[in-house]
Amino acid sequence: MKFVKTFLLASAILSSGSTFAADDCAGLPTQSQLASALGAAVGKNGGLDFPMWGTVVNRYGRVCAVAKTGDAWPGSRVISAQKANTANAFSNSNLALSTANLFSAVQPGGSLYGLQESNPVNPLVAYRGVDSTTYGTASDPMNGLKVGGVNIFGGGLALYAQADGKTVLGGLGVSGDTSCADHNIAWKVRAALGFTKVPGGVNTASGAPAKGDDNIIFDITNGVSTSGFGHSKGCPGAPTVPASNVTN
Amino acid sequence: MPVLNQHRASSRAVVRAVLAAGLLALAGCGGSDNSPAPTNMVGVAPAQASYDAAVARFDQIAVPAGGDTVISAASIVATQTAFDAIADELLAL
Repeated sequence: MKFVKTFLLASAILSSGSTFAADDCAGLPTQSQLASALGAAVGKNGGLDFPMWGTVVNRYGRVCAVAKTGDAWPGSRVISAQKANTANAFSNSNLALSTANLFSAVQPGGSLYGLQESNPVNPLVAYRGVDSTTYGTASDPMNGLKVGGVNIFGGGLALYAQADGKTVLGGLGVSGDTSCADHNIAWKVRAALGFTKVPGGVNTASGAPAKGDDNIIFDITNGVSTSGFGHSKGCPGAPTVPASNVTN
Repeated sequence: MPVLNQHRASSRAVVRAVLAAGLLALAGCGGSDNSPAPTNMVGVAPAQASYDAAVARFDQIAVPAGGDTVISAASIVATQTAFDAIADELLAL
């Protein structure tokens, strides 16, 4: 009887351990896959049609891939990494939160005011590297390290395992255009990379899956977001909310 | 009533302690230009050259390459280990 109990306990521990993602890049997009998806998504997203940066981090915030298109703003490299880190850091097996969803909640008086100061970028990771021309390539110096950072406007999305739609594998961040366009591009890139499931989200607008998703919300009137998770419309080209491309 | 008096005495003691701590803090900082030099955890100011040299070494850590393949777990561990070693040196300066 004692042996049976020990066996059951050991099995429970082993099975529960398997639900945690390993601290590596397995199951996440490669740099060439990210670069390809990013290149295909740029343009006609309601913004400035500017070139972009993209970053993928794993569940522990470790950079697994960095890519860029054209003459993207140099400053957007770290912002894309911040967004990937943020979306991963504040999404879990119950709820996916995009960086766009954080915009209102972190303003003064919002429920998450101060969040943007909570996990600063590690500058030794963000800016290291003798050869800066490797930025955005397969040998980006952020690879393998934890860059940190919290960003609170559109462009960051969590990446969930397709097998269960609940296990967070990491985060995707893109930057280089207006924040609304960045969200739209991230939305396209995530789907193009084959990540089409989220467990739920704060966006429950028409077209969203039953438990909601992490799409951008435009519900701010006179400075107040009805849902508490709305995003500014202050982006040239008046981008519309992209159609939901995820399921629960 | 004795309980109330005891409570008042206790409150006065707390207020006096807070005021004293505040005055001490003001005396220590004072908003003057004579700020103490940065020190490490054991109160020693690091040599600037040593600090700069250690920071520069972060640039030299090998980069795990991606491309068409997933970055390997082994290269991640090697990179993080090298990074942590230099970070520890910085903290010890």
